[in-house]
Amino acid sequence: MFISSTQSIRAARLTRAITMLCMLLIAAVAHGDGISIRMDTQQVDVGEFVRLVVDVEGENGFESITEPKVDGLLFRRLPGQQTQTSISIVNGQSKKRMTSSATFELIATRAGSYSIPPFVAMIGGRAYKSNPIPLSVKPGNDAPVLEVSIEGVPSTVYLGQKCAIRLTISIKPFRSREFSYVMGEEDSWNIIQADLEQSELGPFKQELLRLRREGQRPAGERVLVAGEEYYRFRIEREYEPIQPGTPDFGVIRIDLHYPASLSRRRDVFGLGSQLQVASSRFVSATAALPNMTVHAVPAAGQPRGYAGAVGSFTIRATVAPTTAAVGDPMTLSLEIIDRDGQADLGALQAPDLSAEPAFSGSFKIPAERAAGRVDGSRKVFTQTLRPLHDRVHEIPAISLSSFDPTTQRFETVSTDPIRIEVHASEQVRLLDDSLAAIDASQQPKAKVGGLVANATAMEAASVGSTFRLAPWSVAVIAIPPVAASLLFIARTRAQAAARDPLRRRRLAAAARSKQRLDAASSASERQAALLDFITDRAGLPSGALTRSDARKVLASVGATDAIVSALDRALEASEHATYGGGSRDVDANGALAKEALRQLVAAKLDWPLAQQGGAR
Amino acid sequence: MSFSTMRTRIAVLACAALFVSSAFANDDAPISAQTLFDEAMEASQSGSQHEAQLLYGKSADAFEAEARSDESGGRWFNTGNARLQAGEIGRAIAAFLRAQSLAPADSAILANLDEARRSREAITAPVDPPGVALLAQRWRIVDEPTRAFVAIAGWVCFWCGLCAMLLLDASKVRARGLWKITMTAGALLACLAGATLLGDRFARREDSRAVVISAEVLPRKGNGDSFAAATEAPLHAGAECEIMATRPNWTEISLAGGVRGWVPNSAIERLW
Repeated sequence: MFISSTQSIRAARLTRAITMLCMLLIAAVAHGDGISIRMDTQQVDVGEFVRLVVDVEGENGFESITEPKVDGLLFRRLPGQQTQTSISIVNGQSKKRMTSSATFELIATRAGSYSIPPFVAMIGGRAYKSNPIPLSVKPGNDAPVLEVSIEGVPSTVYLGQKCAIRLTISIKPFRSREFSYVMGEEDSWNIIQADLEQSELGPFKQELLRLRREGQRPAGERVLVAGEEYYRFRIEREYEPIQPGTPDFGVIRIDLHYPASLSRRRDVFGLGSQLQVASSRFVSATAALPNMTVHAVPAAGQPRGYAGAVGSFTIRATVAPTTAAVGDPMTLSLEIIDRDGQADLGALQAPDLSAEPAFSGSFKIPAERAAGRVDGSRKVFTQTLRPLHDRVHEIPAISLSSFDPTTQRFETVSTDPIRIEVHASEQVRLLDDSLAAIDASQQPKAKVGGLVANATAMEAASVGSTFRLAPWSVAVIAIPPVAASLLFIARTRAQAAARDPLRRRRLAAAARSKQRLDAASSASERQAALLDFITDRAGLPSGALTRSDARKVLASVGATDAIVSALDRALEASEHATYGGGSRDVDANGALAKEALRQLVAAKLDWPLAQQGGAR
Repeated sequence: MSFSTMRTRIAVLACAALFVSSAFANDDAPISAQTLFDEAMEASQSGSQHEAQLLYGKSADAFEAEARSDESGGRWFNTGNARLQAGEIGRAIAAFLRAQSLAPADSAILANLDEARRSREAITAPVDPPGVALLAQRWRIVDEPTRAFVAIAGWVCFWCGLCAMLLLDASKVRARGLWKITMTAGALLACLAGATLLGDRFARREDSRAVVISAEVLPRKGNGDSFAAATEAPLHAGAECEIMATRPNWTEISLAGGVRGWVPNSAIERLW
């Protein structure tokens, strides 16, 4: 790659500059005998916070740090201490270094140029001092750049009333005259949420962290406060007051790094530029006690049966079924509607029906109150009632007393009575002893003491028993058709035998002749075996055929000339051997006879004489 | 070794083996469901309600195991009794409904089913079984083994008649006529009784009734907790319903009034 001389000179200058910078940096870090100070900025306005971090290097950290006393500057050490440990190995020897950091907040109360005196750190019994640091404090603007407040919505509530708390963060938009820039709402919020971890957010922590995690932000409102412009962000959450007075949410403090100056950064291609925060200063604001007062519901004038409901309600009741027998359950549904959305429905309790004389004498009511289900602006309670006697004709009106925070008066709403029909049960079941006592005046038609007793083992097995296919039943099912099939086959065979008496002889002819040929030891036996095959098949008397008769029979049943010739050759050979007077047996191994038999068996011949069962 | 000595030794060994096996058998023998039920009743009478409930629960499990291995209305009836005493109203009603399906005319089953239904937190109308199951209840007045016996007897008669017809000579007209009647009657009986047995199986398959077994469950409009409630009030244990559709972990049910909703599978128990 070609590098021009100008470029090489620039590169050499840059290298020298970097080297000097590194040396200066090393000197600065090493300076102060192990103690150094970092500050966000060295120019602040009166009343602004500056964060100041004291780093102490040593093998075991520091024992204590003492801040200097300066008229016009206030130091406050923040709780906690950060420690970093590094181990380096040089020439085979390891060296452990520990850097401990303490953080201070510095607030300037008076304008002027200051030199912050050294901080003193005790390390291993020895005192180490930091270098003095210059600080310029300008009179600045009296209006703070950040304000935090909490308020109740509404600000005055009663215990049991639905309410919310609202965190308001007001931040002054940063202005840069140099770049003619005014920070927008989104960037202002980004400054707030950048340091949320360091802030104390109390009950709003989850919501603020969620907003940041999901990349959301509350809508910022541009407001003017005493002529100063602010962006105001509001975060609201539900709150359930549990005691009268002003709620205490602990410390709620927002810490952030507010821009002090900007710089312009060019992109890597040199085509465009954008502003970036060149320096910032630490700003913190703590919320005062919330602007909220929680009152207890007045004790005076509370209606009887008041159960702490706050709000304005409508109440409706339904029951199902409306016709039941004594002791049978009826489901009562109570729907309580919050008219103006002020009630804390989650905490709202159902009216205590067991305390109402109109109910307790007529119905069996569960000891536990119904839990209820919140559905929007209404809460539905379901409860089971069981009429105690058949003189009960209605579900009495159910009342709900509540304290209306708007009118600051108690009010009572009631349901309409519901007509029901209760008839005496044919089997009146005593629900429990108390019911028996209440209902002693009633004469039940019958009394059943609960369940019918268990079935005995034998009854249990027999009542409503089911059938399973057992091996014996399979046998009983299978045997009759098998037996019938066998019988049918036997009968069919018997009938066939009756129709054709020589059938068995004819069918066995081939096997029998083959067997005889295999066992034949003389030409006459071979001849007899062949001729008997033909007589068996044709149904002729055994030994009744000659060689010429055999040819005729075969011709009559449609045998081909080849088959007839084969038979004739075999028979001729047998005759020569038998009657030749000592001449040689040309078919001594019976090959001709076997071949003739094979052809006769294989050929599909028509044996008409045999089927008639008669002789020719 | 003489023969008598060997015989004595074998006898001793056999006795020892019998003793050992009986000892092991006693250790492993499960306590019967009825014994557990009786113990639960004793515990209840002596005031140990907690122990009684536990024992009732165990006896119900044992009764149910018996009923599932060798099904009968009586066994389901006992299961229902034990479940009801254990406070499991939903499962008790399911057991009584099974018992009622198998023995629809049994008055004790009907009485205890009624008792269980009255013990529910809230009344919901019972769901009618499907048409084929209603029809099956008519013939279930005669229990299954009896109908099976009739079917097998008819089957045997049919085949015997057929065999006789094969064996008898055509000239024996009267005898053949008698056997023909036997064969026809047998075939008819076998078909009718066999059809009811098949019908039982079909009816059970078609019966999609279920019972809520959770103490309280709120039917939803869809198969998930995020769906809106399908009913004003939750259903309580023992509410009878019919299964309409199933999805993983969720079942759509229909109540007697036609109201539909989805409930978790664990909240209901299907009858069959």
